[in-house]
Amino acid sequence: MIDDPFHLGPEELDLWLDGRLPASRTSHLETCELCRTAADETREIVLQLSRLPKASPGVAFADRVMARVNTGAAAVHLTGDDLDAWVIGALPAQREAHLRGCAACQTLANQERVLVMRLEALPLFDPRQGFADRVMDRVELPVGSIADAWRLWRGRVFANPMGVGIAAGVAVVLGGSVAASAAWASANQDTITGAGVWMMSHGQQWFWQGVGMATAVLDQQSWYPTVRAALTPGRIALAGTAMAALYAAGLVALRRLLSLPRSQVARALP
Amino acid sequence: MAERLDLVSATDQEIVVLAVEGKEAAYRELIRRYERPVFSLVLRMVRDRQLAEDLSQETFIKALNAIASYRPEYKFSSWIFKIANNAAIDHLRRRELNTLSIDGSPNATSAEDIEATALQVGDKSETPLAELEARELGTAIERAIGQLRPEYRSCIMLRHVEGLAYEEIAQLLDLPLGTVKTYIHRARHELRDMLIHLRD
Repeated sequence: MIDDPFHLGPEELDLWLDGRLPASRTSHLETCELCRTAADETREIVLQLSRLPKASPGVAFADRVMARVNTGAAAVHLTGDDLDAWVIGALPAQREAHLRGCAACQTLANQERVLVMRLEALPLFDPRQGFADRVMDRVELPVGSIADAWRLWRGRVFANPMGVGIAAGVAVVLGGSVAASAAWASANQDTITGAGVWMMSHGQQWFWQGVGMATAVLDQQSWYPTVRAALTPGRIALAGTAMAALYAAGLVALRRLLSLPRSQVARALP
Repeated sequence: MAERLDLVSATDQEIVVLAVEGKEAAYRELIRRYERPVFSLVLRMVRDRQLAEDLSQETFIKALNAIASYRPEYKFSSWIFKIANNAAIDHLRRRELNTLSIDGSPNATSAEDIEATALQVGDKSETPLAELEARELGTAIERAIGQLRPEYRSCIMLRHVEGLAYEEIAQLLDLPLGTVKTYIHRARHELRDMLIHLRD
């Protein structure tokens, strides 16, 4: 078969098994009994081989192999990540194998474990007594209601002797003033009544004189007739609305200006 | 008393909600929980008790005055440690810029100026506060930590004293995860070397 150039060679049989034999040679296979037999036998052998059972290795086969494979990674000493993993007992088997056989890495790993234990055992320190009070003295608690504001004020004022002293001083001065005023008023009722009558009569007179003078001055201005003609009820209402909106916008802007600078907060936020 | 018990068992997030509502007890509970960790971190960073106390105080004041801006999706501990670490690092940078010569300020022109601006090395150990500080920070490992770069120091403290994960530290310090790992590995390497040297 091999000597005959017309019979199929081993490469051509491989091509036939893969279904890639050219049509010109396939026609020879159909007519040649010898080649036909050789091809059938080859196909049968390949079929038998493919049906052979597959045995599976034991568990952790790959780890056992890799522990004895002399790859580049195994030869490298333990890295920082390896030491992290070793300290928490999560070092891969391959690196564990290196550690077992490397005296330098064993020393390093033991030093690492001792260091981590010492770091984790470092004590926490206490600030001086009254730390929370000193902080709270400078913290602005949000005030949601009048009751909160009162509690806050009371807490601040009565927290230290100086606050109590100032509050008592203010109370004495205010209370004393009110009491003295009441006592003087009850002893001098005639004087107060006389002063009230005089104030009412003269006050009214001065008020109307002032209004009259202001009106006269306004009436003499060259622009007054134009403005008076322009001020219709609709325009007055419009101007009032605009003023109210401007006032509200001003309040919002002021509130934003007085709030804590956001940049300080943003810098600290994670 | 009942409120106190509730606060003790409440989570940080729950306490923050109460603080935002203006409950003073909630503020105090947050201070109680974090005054020691924050003070310890700052003290190990700046290595001066009085200064650490001032910076810790500023940390809490800043955090608690901005409590309404706190985003609950982050851990409160990360937030407060971030503010504390920023305060300590800012101070160390400022101090580096304002460092005085041990022989007096370079701008000092007279003998009096030189004496007034020179660092008084011997003075510190004479105060009770300095003695306490020397006891606290005087152990071999504390001295070794003190010799680390500030960036390494804060990373190693947050990792091994506060027990934060690498990812948390990276987020807290605004650093890539790889950089944080490198800092911590290098810090441990330096500490190992220093402690071996001290043993020898």
